[in-house]
Amino acid sequence: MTHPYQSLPKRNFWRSGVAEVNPLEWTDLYYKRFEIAPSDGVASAGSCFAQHIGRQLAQRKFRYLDFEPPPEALPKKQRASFGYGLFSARYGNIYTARQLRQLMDSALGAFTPEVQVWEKDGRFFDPYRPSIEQGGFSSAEEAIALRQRQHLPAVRRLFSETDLFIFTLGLTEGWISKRDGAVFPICPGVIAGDFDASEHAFHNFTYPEIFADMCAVIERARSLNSAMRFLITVSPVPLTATATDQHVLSAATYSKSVLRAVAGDLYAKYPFVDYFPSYEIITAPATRGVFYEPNLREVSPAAVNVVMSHFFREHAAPSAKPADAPARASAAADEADILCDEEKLDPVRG
Amino acid sequence: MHLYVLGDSHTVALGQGYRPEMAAEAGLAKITIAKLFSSPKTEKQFFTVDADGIGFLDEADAALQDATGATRLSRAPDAAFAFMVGFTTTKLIRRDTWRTHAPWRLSHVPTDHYLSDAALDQIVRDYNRHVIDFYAAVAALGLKAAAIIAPPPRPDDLAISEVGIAPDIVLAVDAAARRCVAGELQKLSIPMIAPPDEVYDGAPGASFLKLKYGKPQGRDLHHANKDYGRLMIGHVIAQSAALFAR
Repeated sequence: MTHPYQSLPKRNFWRSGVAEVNPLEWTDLYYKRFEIAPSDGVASAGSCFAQHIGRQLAQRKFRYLDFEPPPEALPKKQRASFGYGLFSARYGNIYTARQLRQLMDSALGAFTPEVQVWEKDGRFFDPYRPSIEQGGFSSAEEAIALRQRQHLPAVRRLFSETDLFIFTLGLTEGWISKRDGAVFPICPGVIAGDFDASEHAFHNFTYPEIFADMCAVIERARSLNSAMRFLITVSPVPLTATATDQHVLSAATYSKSVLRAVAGDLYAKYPFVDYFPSYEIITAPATRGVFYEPNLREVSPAAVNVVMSHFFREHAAPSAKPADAPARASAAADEADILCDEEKLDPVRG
Repeated sequence: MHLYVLGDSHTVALGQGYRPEMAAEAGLAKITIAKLFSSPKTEKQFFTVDADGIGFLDEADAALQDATGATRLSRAPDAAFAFMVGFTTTKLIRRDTWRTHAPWRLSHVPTDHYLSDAALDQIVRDYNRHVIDFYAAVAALGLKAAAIIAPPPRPDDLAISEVGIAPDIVLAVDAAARRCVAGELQKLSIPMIAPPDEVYDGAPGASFLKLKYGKPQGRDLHHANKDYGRLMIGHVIAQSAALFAR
């Protein structure tokens, strides 16, 4: 008797593909769906983990785009605290698909949130990117002006000019404004602003919502930029905290499962969307948690290198320096400069 | 009583404007005016502090000795200092940064990117960090000291004519840098001596140097001339006299 499994390669079997292989010697984990040409402009966004990806691409001389580069006169050690050099624009961490969709809608003039500013101790913060100036802005006028005149035009350019957009899905949980459904990257009151149960609601985005949001972003982006491709990843970083009534382990597992399912179905639906298994590499039982820092949440720099080695095995780094472009990545910051809003939910850091 | 007017190359114009009788007219025994270094020196560590006082590095060390007969600035009951240090923004305003970035308040100026107040403040604070440290050392030493505010940028500065930076950006960056140092001096209770309103081609403290006060020499498009020096040294002497009463 014959059956299809008999002709499958070793990578298709748990025993020969995972259990009997040293995790540092895994091969064939990822096959690229398309090439990344040296001339391709690459942009990234997403959760904290996405900062690692962008950084490594820039270091390997991919044409990593930065649409809000830092002023050269700003000292390098200060740039991350102003949100420079973390992603391809100064949007800060984008944890949910709804956040990404909202950002795109805002940049394209399709949505203007009612709440424009948060305040804390006499300083003012952009509610949709509260960490990009860690001391806040000097006035509400400044926060709003820089969003409207500096940031959103940069995001518009990003969607128009990027060839490959890399997005890391981070969370399903979020906080929204009851006034207009605007989603915040972090609960009001944690970094700035004031939590008000009459104004703010918790929402755990569902699979249908997340899938619909990602499809909307992808299709809208392609309508602006028909050649744009996407690389989706899922962050292996668990939740700092859950606002559900579940144990954080259950809540995190739910979140990552939903996000992984969305990523898989986007890959199945669109031939120009690729999926990279950074989540699996870090979280597989075979790795026994060694890729995490002692807090079992942050991913170690060595682990990031292991993850990216699988990526670069398929996508070799460009051999020559790419030609100068209007938006070129600024010098990569140190690995120590990963800034994670979500960590602020837990005042006691392990 | 001996007034020492020491500092960067803007001191030269003050020396050119000085008349020997000014000391007696002010009731001072002597006035010494000397350039110690050129302003780019202050972008790096340019002084030392030890038990004997404040010393200067490199060529400024010899210049201090020539001017004061000593290798250190130190407290003396009959000595006061007016430092032309810390308000010269020439290297800062000519940086390429300002071709692509502008302060957000200048929304009328086309640029690639706008900067927050905090980011601009960080830039000027970094530029001025050694100057701020210097004045902290001056205050800690208890010197009778004032800070002389350098002449404003010229409307024909190379920042505008060659680097291609918008004039409004030059003025805004210059003003931010000066505000940064002035703020620190206020905290240290070190008085500042500002140029007279007459030298500005517009609002005092917020406009360029009138070209008639600019030094007309080749590519030297940031120094003032002896006419400026004549106006300014009078201010310096008059306001420095109060230091001796402290």
